[in-house]
Amino acid sequence: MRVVARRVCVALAMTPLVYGASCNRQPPRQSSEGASRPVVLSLAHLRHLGIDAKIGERKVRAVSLYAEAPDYRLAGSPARDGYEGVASVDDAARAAVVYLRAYEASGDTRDRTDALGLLSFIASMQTSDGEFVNFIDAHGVQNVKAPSSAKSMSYWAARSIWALGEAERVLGDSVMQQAGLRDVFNSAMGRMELDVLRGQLVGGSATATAEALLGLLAMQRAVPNTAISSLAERTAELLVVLTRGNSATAPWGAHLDSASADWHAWGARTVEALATAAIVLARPDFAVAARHEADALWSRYLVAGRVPALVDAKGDASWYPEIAYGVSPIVGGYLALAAATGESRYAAFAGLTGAWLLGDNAAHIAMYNDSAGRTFDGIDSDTSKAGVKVNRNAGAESTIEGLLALQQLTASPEAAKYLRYTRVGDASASLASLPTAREYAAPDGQRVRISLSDSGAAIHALPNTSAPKTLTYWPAANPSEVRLATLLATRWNAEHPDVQVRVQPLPAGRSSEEVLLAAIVAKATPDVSSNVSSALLARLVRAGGVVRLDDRVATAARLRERTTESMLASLRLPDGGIYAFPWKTNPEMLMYNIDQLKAAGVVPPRTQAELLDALRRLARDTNGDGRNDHWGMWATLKTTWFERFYDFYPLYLANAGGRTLVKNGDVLFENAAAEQAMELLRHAFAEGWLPKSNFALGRDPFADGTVAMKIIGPWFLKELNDLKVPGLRYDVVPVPAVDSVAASRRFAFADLRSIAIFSTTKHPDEAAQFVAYLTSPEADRMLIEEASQLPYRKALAGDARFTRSLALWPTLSTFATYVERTRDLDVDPDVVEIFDVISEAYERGAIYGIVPVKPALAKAAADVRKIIRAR
Amino acid sequence: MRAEERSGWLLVAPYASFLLAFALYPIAFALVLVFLHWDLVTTPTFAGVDNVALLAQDTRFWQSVANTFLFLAIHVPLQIVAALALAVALNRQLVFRAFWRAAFFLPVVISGAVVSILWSSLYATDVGLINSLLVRIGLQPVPWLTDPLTAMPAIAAMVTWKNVGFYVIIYLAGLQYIPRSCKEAIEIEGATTWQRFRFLTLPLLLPQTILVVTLSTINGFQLFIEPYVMTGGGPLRRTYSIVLYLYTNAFSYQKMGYAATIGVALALMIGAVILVQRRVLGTGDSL
Repeated sequence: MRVVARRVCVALAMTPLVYGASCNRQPPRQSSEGASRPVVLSLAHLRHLGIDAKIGERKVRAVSLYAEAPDYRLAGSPARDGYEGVASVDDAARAAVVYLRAYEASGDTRDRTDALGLLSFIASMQTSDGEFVNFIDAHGVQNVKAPSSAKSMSYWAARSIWALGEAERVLGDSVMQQAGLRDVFNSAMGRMELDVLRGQLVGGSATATAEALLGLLAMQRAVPNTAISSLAERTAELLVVLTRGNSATAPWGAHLDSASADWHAWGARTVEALATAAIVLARPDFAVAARHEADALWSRYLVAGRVPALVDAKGDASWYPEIAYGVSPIVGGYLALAAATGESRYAAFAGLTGAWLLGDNAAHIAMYNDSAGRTFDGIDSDTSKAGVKVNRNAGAESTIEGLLALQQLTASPEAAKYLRYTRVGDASASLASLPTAREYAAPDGQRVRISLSDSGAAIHALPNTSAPKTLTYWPAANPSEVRLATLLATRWNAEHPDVQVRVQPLPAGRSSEEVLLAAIVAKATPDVSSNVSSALLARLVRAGGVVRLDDRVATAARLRERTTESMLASLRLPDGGIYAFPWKTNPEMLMYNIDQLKAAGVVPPRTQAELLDALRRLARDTNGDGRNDHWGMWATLKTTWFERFYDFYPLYLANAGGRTLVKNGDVLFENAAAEQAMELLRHAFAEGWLPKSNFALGRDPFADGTVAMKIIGPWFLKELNDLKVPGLRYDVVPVPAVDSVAASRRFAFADLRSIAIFSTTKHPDEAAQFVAYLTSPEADRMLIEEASQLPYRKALAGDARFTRSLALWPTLSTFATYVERTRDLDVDPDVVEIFDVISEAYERGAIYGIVPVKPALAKAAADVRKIIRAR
Repeated sequence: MRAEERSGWLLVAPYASFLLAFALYPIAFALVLVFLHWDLVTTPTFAGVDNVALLAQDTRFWQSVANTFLFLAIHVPLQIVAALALAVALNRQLVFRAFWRAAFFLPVVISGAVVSILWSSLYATDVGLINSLLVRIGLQPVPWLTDPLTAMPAIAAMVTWKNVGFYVIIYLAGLQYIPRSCKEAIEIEGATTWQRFRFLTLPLLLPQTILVVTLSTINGFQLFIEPYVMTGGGPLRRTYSIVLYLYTNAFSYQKMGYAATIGVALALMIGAVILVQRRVLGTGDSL
């Protein structure tokens, strides 16, 4: 606390540029076009702050404390602070969290390298008893004397634990072990445990304890174990009891270090830590404790129209300085509460609070500059001019806290929607005497009202005078998806009276691609459709038929929340844009009949050699007529292009190390991976281990026991459930690959289905919000439960929010482990014709064996090149 | 303009506008498309004679032409024989004759897709009715739709079965019009049943036969729904008809210019074949 306050004072004292502004001045109106633009996250300034240091013999990275406007040259701690040093663990730990989260989202290895450099700095600042020193000087010498730096178990130690826990979650245990960081964490945790078991807060501070708890929880997410979970529970319990007051009595539920202590906004991460603990430790009572402060105290900030720097035990607020470090923890707290409770109002409150960074502040200027990635150091009252002054320096703490807040806000569509709102009217002067409600307005004129109630703040959209907007939504026509769409639209319509959604199942046709194509030609496309395949996408984009989604606030936020950059890489079109929201994926696996394999003494095949052997052993004549009537698997003889999704293509992808069929006009399948996959099928057909016949329409030979295995996606689980086959016991394994392919290089085929907004829509922003709604965690849970299908969502298998839903379907959790290891159809305008050519090669080379596999594939490759050249 | 002329134009207008909108305009549009690249969603671009040149050297197209001619070679004679035999049988004094006539006509009015799905089950290698019967009499099951040699004949047999009722009606009409005096005269001459059929019935049914040949040829050229549903054009593209290939190019590959070129080529082929048939068979007017 002492350190924090000092840093803020220094930052504001160094103000070289002053922006005079009246607190009453109305903010400049932003254009609604700017309002629909998502905030760009830039780490450029944070990188600019990076410095190399050498501590002992160890080369590390650190973050310079300050950067002074106008040229943002780097600066260390000034004389008034006793020259504490040039960089601190305090900043490095939080900067590491920023880099780790950036790496998690983008996969950019620069972020990983920077994070590891900072973690190395943290490690080098740890002492043998698990405590940490905070500052170094320009020569890398530790400052062990200054109270704000001396070896202790305090703020900088707590933040180190946070950063190390996040590192374990993002980078994994092997990287941590290799870098020696796991030992650093264990040692710090051991030291922390001494305090916690004695009932003491880390550094005597609720905020420090909360940050350390966030580290424990991240570690628990990554490598669950009882030692960490019990310490985390004990730590959370220490925080729970710190709450003071209630919705009627000051300090309104604030978690205070002691009964007489002040509540300060800087680093107020108690709510975030408790709400996260509720999820990770499955302790809903922690969420209730988190709500106390958010509902009673923070709700007052929303109605007051600003966040104070400090609230004393009697409820008197000090409003200045306004700094990112006072905003970011509240943003994190609200978003964690939204995740823990499922109440989207908390995400909206996070957005309204985070709007401080983009202009809803006392100076009415954007404190975060998204071209440079800078966050100004703060806004303070200017008593001489009865206005405010802006410190345009951009030091480590402001930059890091601004980014921490925006990383979370831009990954939440419900929050991002409110980032450009500004309060209406003057801010309140007191928390004790507030108006009954506060309005906030968007640049396009939409307004919301925040009012206080016994259960905290409530948010209501103010009625729009214009008629409600209507969106037409076409889901796939199968019953479970129609039911899901209807359910979601009904909920949406209840929550959004101004934007009503009409559900019309995709009109009947052989494929949704053909139906949508016909609709485009007839100019009768809906606003939104949720069954767009990659086979159609390239054409739709070429025709300008769909709206770009990664540059709209709601969909950009949902993409950040739901996917990593590597998951999006293959979906980006040549201009770098995402034009269809990747909604659900169905990674195919090899499903097998447990009893049939057991009876034949066959173990579930892991390699293609084992698969061939299993096919040999499972093909048999059971009625003695001299002909096989039971087989290991069935590969249809039909040559319709999409039939290859269940035989050749998944076997090829398992071998191909991530390659698909074509990329940027090059043929990728003329290789050993394709030959091996097709050779396996040729061999099996030639030997009669695969039936050379089509089964009667409507009959499933796996369900009726005619074949013992099939390559299939998770949607089949629902079909099996509906069929209710008595006694059928099944399980799944990844589609076998050739022996030489490492498990980490094996990919599953998944026919990714996306949601598109068509260019004919008159309401692209509202449609984008609806798409974000259709892809929210709640909607994803319903998708899993209703249709046994998987959302295209990062870390799905390990995400506690989906565990119960996945467990509803046998084997679905196994399918979920492959969500991020899938390959789809190539986003190529001729992908259907390319698959037809592959089908021809498959027929000639594998089914009928009239040409050897290699020349069959060579001819297919030549034909595909002709197709590509001809366009 | 005289009132009579005006009335004439007025009376012609509905049909003329229908013809213009649904026949002449599409034909003209198809002819224009031959010289364009167009994928339905983007602006068409001029293709010159690219589509025609591609057609000339497209082995898949020529295979579909060969497949269609094989189909016609099986289907048209089979259709004539089956329709004529049934017509002769149904022209006799049978119990429930009206029922039998209706029963044979029934498949004509059933959707082609439905019939194709039904016959897919009949032809199924594993549990199909036909193979079950073959196995019961000690024969090996035949992979009707998955063997390159049997797939097209199997489809031809099914199409013949579906359409036979229509052609039976044509032949029945012809049989009704054979003068009783001719039948009596040939009977008095002591002709056998076969001779009566060979020298009286068959020659007098020549106009109907020409009609059946013409219609079944035109219909045969348009073979689409059966391979589309039953085989997808396989095995080894042996059931890929011209129209299925046209459809695939138009609606799966979105190559509308090339599909139109196939369509124009198909129209020319049908015209040429009908011309040859009429040269060979005559028009029947001499009778």
